[in-house]
Amino acid sequence: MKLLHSYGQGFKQTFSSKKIITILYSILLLLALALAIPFSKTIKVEAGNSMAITKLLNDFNYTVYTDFMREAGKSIKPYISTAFWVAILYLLFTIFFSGGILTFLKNREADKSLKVFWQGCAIYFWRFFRLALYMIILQIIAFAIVYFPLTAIIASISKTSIEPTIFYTAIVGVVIHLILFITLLTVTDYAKIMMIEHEEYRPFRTLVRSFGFVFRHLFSTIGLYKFLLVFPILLFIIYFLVIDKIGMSTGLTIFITFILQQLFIWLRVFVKVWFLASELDLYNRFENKDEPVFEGEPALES
Amino acid sequence: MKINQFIKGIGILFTLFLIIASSSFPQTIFKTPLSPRNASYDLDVHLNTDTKIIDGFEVLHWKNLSKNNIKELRFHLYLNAFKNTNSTFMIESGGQLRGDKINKEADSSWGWIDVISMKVKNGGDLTDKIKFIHPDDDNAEDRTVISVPLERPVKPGQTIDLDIKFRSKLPQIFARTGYAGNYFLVGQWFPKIGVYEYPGIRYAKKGGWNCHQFHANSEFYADFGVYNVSITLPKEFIVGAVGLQTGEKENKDGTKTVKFHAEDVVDFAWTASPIFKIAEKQWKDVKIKVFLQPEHFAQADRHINSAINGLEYFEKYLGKYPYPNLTIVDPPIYAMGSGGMEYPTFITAGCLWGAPNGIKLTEMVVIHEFGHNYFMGLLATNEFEEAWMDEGFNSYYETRIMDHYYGRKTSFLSFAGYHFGDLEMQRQSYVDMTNPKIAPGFLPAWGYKNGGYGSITYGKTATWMATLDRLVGRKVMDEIMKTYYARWHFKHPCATNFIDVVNEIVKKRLDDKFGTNMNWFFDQVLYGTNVCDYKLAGISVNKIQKPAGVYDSSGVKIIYNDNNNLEDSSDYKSRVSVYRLGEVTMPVEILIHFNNGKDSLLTWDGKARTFNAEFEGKQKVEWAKVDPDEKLLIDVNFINNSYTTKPETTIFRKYTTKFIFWVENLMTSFSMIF
Repeated sequence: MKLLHSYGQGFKQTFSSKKIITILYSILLLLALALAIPFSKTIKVEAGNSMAITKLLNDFNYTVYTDFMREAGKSIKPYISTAFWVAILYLLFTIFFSGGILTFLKNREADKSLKVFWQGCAIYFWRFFRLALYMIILQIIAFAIVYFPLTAIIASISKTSIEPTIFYTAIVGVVIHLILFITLLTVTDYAKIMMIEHEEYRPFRTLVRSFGFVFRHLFSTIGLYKFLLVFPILLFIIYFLVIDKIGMSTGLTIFITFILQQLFIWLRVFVKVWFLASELDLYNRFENKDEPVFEGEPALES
Repeated sequence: MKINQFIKGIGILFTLFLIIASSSFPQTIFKTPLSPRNASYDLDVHLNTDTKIIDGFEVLHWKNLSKNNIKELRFHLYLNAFKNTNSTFMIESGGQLRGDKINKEADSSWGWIDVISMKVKNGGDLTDKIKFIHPDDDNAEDRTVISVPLERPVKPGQTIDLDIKFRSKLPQIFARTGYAGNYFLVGQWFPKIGVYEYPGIRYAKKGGWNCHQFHANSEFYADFGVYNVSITLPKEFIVGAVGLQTGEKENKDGTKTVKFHAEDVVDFAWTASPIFKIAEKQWKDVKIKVFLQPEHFAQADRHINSAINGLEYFEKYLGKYPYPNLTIVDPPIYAMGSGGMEYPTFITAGCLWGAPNGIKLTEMVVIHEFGHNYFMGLLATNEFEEAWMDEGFNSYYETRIMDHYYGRKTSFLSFAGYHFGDLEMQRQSYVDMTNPKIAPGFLPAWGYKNGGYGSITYGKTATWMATLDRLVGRKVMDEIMKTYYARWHFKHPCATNFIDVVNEIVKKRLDDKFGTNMNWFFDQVLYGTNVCDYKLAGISVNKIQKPAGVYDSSGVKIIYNDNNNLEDSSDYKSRVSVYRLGEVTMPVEILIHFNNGKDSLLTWDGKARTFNAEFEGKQKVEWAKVDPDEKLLIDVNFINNSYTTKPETTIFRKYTTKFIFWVENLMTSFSMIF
């Protein structure tokens, strides 16, 4: 089955792209540290020589936390808002790197150098940026067409309905939005692949063609995306189960937690590349039936 | 034979008569009245569930307990607060309360009450003499208080019986009362006589009516009495009410009449819905009955168990619950405005379908509302003028009960690694105020012009009660409260009554530990608005220097310099400084810990702006804490209560690590979009 094949091939290709993943992860970490280092200094200054703050070491302490945030909130809250801006900056980085990742994955040369990666980033950035803008607009529209009527429906039924009715109504809305959200993400990924495979310069037209491709191969494309989601969901579950057991009350447990957290983040980046690699493989299986998809792979039968 | 048959017939008739008679007369709950019972009501009402109108006939038996001849009566007509946008209630609330907003577009939203006629039994018609008054403000449009001049005064000790015909239109659930669909919670729904205060009751220096308008923030105030209530409504409705149900009869027109009887209570409220599911449990001699929404029935045990916890705790630490029953009403989610409310023996709670056990909202509401049976039900304080005496005292007991049964740090929430206790939450509601000085606790409910009513009456009062508890000790605090309850239940106590009890018991048990009385405490926390904030400002540790310079010794001048100096002392001089940042002064302890493992506990009256303690010796002060046992919960900042010369850094590493992870996850989540 194409879906499973692409899933496996995508993993292999991603695994052989560890250099790229490490670069992406390093940028993530650097950006986080750029905020975290001054954050650490701020909380130290705000806590001063108080002993109260150590009550938060072994367990959450509501009184200490709220008293501290009331006194230090003005200094700490800017970090939270800055983090959102940094996240938007990272989104720009993601748009930038997407071109490089796909170019790198597509490259059939035995020697996959980073030069190919950086070239791809630069070449495709502007096109991908416009594609991203279209995609954000579509996501906002999808959000609005689900949640505005849903909010109105819930507002009207809440005057006479019981919680299960309201809850299930809301769930239906959330599920519909989730389907739209995932479909749009899938369409975006194939649009990116098409732009690189066919050297397209018009993001909007490519987007429309991508819609066509996804809906022509709905089971495989959406199916692959959902199948790919299984691993990150499992990753989250395992992470929370493990972290709960370790705690963060000593220098050693904090260090172990830090390592596990960074491994988790590295894997999240891995998964991001895995998605693109799998989708690239699937696209080529549908579009280039007479050519080997990756070096060493037998050609597909038509 | 004929005589025997005749006697038998008489016997049968007499038995039948007794059966019929007993179903008409209410049973007696208490052999001896527990309260003055000077405001008793017989109510015969009919609810039209389509028009939401109650047509009622009320017989009020009101006894003049004062030494005055009373020439006028005053009544509350609470429902008129919801009549239009010009009522005092609507103006003050802006048309919204407890999460509900009145729907001005829908005619059916409004509520009102009309007194159709009022006559003295076997006397004159007072109907035309009724006039609306507004004792609290200049709002002539407010119709929540009436004055009724009497043809003949009610003499001291005399009882007046009034026949009152009234009509009440229930609002769509708003501010505790009304209807939502086929659910009815009927509170403050009949003409209710005010309280005539006279010397000996609260602050009264002379006799006068205490009958306030209905304000947005206020609740209620009434005398004790006996209620016999007969409610007629469509037969499919299930009815719950204050007191005991004494009868139910189906009528031919598709309605039924349900009768209730309550003794020694200050109010009567009731509920009706065709879909209630009922859970019951007997605890000692109290029958607990919960009227639940079908979708909440799985949480019946949570209601019952928390009620039992309340009954048990209050019995042990305050006084036995005197009534034989407790009814709990669970409103539907679309009628939550009627939830979280109290009436004697009848409370409304509120829960959410699927709510996890770790979020103890249901328990908190049940325990809080049950507690009001004591604070405003039995200790019938004036909720208009001294809301802190019921809301604050009750919140204090709520924190004790919740923390006792569900854990000090988990009693309100324990979910997904986060947790906090009820007392923690109450304290935060006060210390987290943008302006904790906004108003004193001792203020009429409508005096909070700029907000703060909830945080001050509930949170601040509960916090200073808990502070008092920790200052005097739990044993003394319990004796204070038990004495207050024993002395004042079934009466109308006020602040000075409570403070007098505090002063009496503290003096008896603790002598002059806190001065000649505790008035200084109440002057600050109840009557004042200042905040309490003690800070462990700093610790300095310096080696004691060798002397240098010229010293006189027995008439001889000795010069100390590098050539002939003594060795540097190996002793240190440590200095601990404490600041009083707030204006409230409280006696406070300071715990000092030395590097040799020893501790020293100092006490300070907390009055001066600074306090310094110095120590000399080989030991060095390592850390110090002001108020180490957190007795002063009223202190708005616990973070500055301690100081260490060796700050712990692990905690910063922990939170920096968490922050890094959070930011990374935020970035990778954003990157999912493309």
